[in-house]
Parts: sequence; structure tokens; C-alpha cells
Amino acid sequence: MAVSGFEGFEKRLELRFFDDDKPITKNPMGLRLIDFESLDQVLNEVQCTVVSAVANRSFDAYVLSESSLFVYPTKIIIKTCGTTQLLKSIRPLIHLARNLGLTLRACRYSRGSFIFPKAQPFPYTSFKDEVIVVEESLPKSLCYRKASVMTPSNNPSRAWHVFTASADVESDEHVVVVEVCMTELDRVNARSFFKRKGDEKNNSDSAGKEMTRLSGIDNINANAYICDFAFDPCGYSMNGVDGDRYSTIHVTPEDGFSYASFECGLSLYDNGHEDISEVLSRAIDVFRPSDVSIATTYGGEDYNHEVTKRVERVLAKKLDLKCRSRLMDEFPGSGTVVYQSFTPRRK
Amino acid sequence: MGSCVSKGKGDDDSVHNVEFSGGNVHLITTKESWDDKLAEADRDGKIVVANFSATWCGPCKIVAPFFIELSEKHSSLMFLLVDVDELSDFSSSWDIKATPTFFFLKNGQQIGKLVGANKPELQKKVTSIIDSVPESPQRP
Repeated sequence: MAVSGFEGFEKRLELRFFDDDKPITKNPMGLRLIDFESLDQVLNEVQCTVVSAVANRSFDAYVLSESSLFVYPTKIIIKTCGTTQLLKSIRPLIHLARNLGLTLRACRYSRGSFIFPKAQPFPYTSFKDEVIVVEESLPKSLCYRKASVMTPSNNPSRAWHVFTASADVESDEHVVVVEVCMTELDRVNARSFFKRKGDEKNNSDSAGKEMTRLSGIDNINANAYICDFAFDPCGYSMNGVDGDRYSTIHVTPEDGFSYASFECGLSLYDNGHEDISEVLSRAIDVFRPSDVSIATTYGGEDYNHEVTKRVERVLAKKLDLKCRSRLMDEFPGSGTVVYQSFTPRRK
Repeated sequence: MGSCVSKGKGDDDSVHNVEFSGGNVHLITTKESWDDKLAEADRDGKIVVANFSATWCGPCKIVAPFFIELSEKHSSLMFLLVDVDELSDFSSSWDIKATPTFFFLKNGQQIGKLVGANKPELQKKVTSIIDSVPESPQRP
């Protein structure tokens, strides 16, 4: 492991707001009406800028200089890597939502263990301090709270940290969120994410589009529109837009601290969409990493053990990845989190 | 040519209403006006840059002022704005999955496409098109 380098592991924040049913104040666009100047100010505090953005009927997707932002009518998801100050966004976002008549309902903050923890600023130097900062930023109405560090026995340095707070003891969220973190990427595959010399002259297509095609990312979900971006001299980000489903990939390809993440929101009960295991298998295959962790968050009572087992079977069969650890924890008002760790069988 | 200035939807209650058309951007509200503009572009030997946007689209608002700026800077191109809600059937025929989507058209044929509010990329596309098209003599 390198002594220093770019921190790929993201901090992730999700804020969900009440969808008031009052006809007079009913506003179908909700948070999407927050003007861009205000969003940009919040992002500036966090130390991010928007590099590209798209929208469809359901949500807005912003590729950031440090990962991604998704804005739904009653939900905001923001994910930032490096040494960003993500938690500084909580109060301003709550304020902007209140201006639109929306009240905070639930908050979830999660992250993996950093590759370079010493490079992080306060409070990210300690999850305990992060939890204190989040709690202080939230209204008391979110009274069901829990913090948990899920530490796999096979690799204690790759823990998963979760804090949740909710105004309701039962979650109404039906989207399952899957957060995949990958390190020690295959060197050959990682090469796709370095800008090639002469790109500017030879290709009318953008460098981002080329990386999407070269790596095979466009095959993970053929239905999704991909808004991609290539960084100088290397690195890649993309947001996928498919109906009301988002997906996102962020890549740090440099050897020694190589990292890739894949995240998507989906429903287990939508027959029109294919098996979650197949999607994960295709995403992980792009990078062929030596270390994979998968955190799956099931809202409410939707936890499905068969899905967990199936993910393990498919990854073992298709990618020869063995599940070394499986941890589970329940969060009041926010559902169940399953944290699985995989390494290649041959190790 | 004259400048066509048009505001967004009148009933937009946003405090920060972003103007999507202005400068030399022509707002397209009917299929007929789309056909007329493309015919005009063909006569004038101009390449069309069409911006498929929506008034509710946050990302579209990021790039709208820049699009107007480009239209004022590059009079050799024709800049059109299509509201995907007002022309929903027409927009569907162009397979718009996300907005903003930019099409670059020459003689009615697509020569380029860009999806997303990415100013450097849009600038790059416009520049490469201008560089690739030699000065066209006016028809007699």
C-alpha cells in the first residue's frame, strides 16, 4: 500500500424528506426546484464542483469533481471522495428543503475505512467524531438513531461505518441501495481509465465516452443513459440514469491505491429488471479487483436472505470470488444493512 | 439576421427563472417551425445545434446561459431550443432519455450528439464543427 495518494473511498450521505400530501402545497418537483446557484454554494462548502449533469422525468444527476449528487423530489444523495467535507452539506440542504416546504424525515451516512485515514481532516479522523457532527446537524425530530461499525474478521482494516437517524420507527423506503467498494484493481483493466495521448486530436467522442466503451461499463445496464467524465490525467466518474433508478461509478486507477466503486438503487420486486447479482457481477468484472466489499441496505422489512446468498453464489461462480465475511445490522427506521467481504478464491 | 428573444414558461413560479432562449437561440414550439428552421439552415449553409431541454430540468439551467453565449459568438451556426414537454412526441422520435441533449445537424442529418450539461465538452463540439467546415460561398 502506498504511503500517500488519492483517497478513493467515498463518504455517502442520504437525506429523505416527508412528501406532504396536502393538495395546496403538493409540489411534484420537490427538491428538484432548488436553484443551481444554491446547490453550487453547498457543493463549494463540501469542496466539490459540478463537471457534468443530466436529468430525466424522475431525478437530476450531477457528476462532481469528487463523485456524485442525485436530487429526487424528496431525496438527496451525495457521495464524495478524497478529503472532502461532506457533513458540512447537511444543515444547508435541510435549510434549502425547508424553503420548499419539505421536512427532513431520515438521514443515513455511510463510508468504508479510508485507505489514507491520516490524510483526512477532522471529524473524519474518527467515526465517533463524525457521528457527533452529524447528530448535531440534525433536528431532534429524528429521534431514532444508531451508529454501527461493521468489522469483517478476515480484514479488520476494511470496516463499514453506518449512522442512521429517522423520524419514524418504521422505514417507508423501498429502494434497495447497493454500495460496492473495490481495491487492488486489475492493472490491465485499470489502464482503460488513463487518458490516452492524442485523445483530443483523434477522437470526436469525449474521453469519458471512450473510457465507458473501452472498459465495458456501457454493458452493465444497457438501458441506462450514462453521463460520464474523464479526469486529467486519469480517473473516471459516471452517473447512470434509467427511469427512476440511478447508478454511479467512480474510479481511481493508479497502482498502489487503485479503487473503484459501483452504487445503484433498485427494487427487489420489480420483475421488469434483472437479478441484482448479475448486475453486480458485470460491474465487478469491469475491474477484476482483489478485494471487494458490498454493503446492501434494505429499507423497512424488505431484507431478503436469498438475495444475499445468491449474490455470493453468482460471484463465486462467475468471478471466482469467495465470501470471507457476512455481517448484518438493523437500524431503526432505516432498515437492514448487510456487509459482505470478498477476495479471489485462489488467495 | 435578427435576434429572437423569448422567455420560458410564463407560469414558472421559480424565483430564479432561467432564460432558456435569448441571444441568437430560436425557441422551437411546433414541428412546423422546426422544419422551417432546418430548411432555412440548409439555404444559408448553416449547421444546426439543437438543444433539447425542459423547464423543470436543473441540469439544463446550468448550461442554458452558456448556450445563449455560444449562439451570440458563432453566427455561422444556427442554435435551436426544443422544449421536450411542449414537443413531447417530436422529442420521443429523437429518443431523448435525458436532458439536456444536444444534436448537431448538417442538411438535416445528425453529425454529432452530446448529452449532459458539460460546458467544456459543448464548447469542444462546437469548435470542432466550426473548424471542420470550410467557409461556404453564398449561393447566388
